[in-house]
Amino acid sequence: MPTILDRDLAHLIHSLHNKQAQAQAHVWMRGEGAVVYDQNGKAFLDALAGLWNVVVGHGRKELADAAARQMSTLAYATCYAGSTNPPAIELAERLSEICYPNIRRFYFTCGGSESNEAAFKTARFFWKTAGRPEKVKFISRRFAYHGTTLAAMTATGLESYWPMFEPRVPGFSHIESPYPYVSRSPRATRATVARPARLRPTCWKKKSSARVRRPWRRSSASRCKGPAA
Amino acid sequence: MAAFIGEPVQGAGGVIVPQDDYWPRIRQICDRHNVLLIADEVITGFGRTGDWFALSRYGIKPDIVSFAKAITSGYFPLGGIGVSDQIAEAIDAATDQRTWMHAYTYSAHPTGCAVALANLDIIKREGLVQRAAELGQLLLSRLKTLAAHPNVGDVRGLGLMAAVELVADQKTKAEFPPESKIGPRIHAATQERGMFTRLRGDVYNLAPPFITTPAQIERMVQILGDSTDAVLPAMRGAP
Repeated sequence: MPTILDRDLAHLIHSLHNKQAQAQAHVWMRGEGAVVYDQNGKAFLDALAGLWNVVVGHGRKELADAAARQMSTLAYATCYAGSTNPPAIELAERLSEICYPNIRRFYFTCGGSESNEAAFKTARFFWKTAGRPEKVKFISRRFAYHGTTLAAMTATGLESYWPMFEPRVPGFSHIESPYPYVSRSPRATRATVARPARLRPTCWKKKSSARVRRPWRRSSASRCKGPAA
Repeated sequence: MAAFIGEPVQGAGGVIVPQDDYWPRIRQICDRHNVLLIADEVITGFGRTGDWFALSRYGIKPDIVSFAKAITSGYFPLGGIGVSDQIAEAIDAATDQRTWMHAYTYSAHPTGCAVALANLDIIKREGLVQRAAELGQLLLSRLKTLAAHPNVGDVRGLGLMAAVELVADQKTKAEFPPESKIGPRIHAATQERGMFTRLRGDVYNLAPPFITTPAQIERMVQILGDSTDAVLPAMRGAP
């Protein structure tokens, strides 16, 4: 009899797939509040709220009921131009009340990567409508995580996400992270704001010895042989 | 240059909290150079930092905000962007070949939106944004007690997101060599003791649900402290 993990390995590919990690995988079975339980019934404090998302905690019947009610009424409908639906209208209204005062219009996606793709495209779109079609580039930061679709992955500043999917999307460059533990500026944030550097994966490779950190303001420029942005 | 994108607090990168004047300066620089500011609030949106949206604490507004995750508490996949009035007007005005030809099959999924509404009801009714701020203060103050360990380099956080960065040498901030696998060993030790999260290298991230009890917060810190002692015992109490 194959175990549940044998069956997992036979047919599933995981995010950041790692066959060794999968051999000791938790099969998450149920959750309650801030606790989740695996296939052995062992309880774990969910210190990351799933993946930063389960803020109201696990096991909220109210949310299951809301989904069941809507699925029973109308589970899916297109929301392309010329169509709409009541929950979407109400949600956009609600967001306009709690979001920034200048932000009152919303477009919905299935998650963060899709959201950032929409954001990049909308930024380019905006400048084209404003008669500035040459404004197409983006700046993000080292240690950023913006998702893993191709443009979002390019904006992401964790270099391990890049190498096997290159080339990255043109038009993106990274500046340093405002990381006070590593580079605290005596003149507040001046140092971490103003130094763009086009970072390549090789720039960030660390030597296994002498791993003493220096402020990135200097080190990135000296270690990175690439052209400055 | 079209836009600058940043998470108000870098999340997966290791809960990196900028100095207080960082975002106002970024806003100024963007304005000076006619660059849009995109706030990636996928993690910080809907209360994580103790505000509904994180940049409001710095008194600035982005031009585009992207969000996901906490809008449905993960009960249904849903995210989105919000755009400034100026951008919305441009989208409204564009027609024919200049139409905003962006589309997803599941955009504005009725079931996802219904779940989001119910989830936002819970957050509001139970005062969870305020609770995240308060629990975050407890979490951070308890985590700071771990700083006595000679391999705890930094303890940081904002609202209910925090990180403990382990280093080989507190004074020089030198990192452990990757082959020592300190991060994965801490991860294993905390799992043995009943806690689960994700790390970035040797940075241990914590961002529990907003309904976590104070006792559970204390327990998380206890587990992380015990695990650090277990993985790095030789250093403990060394002169």
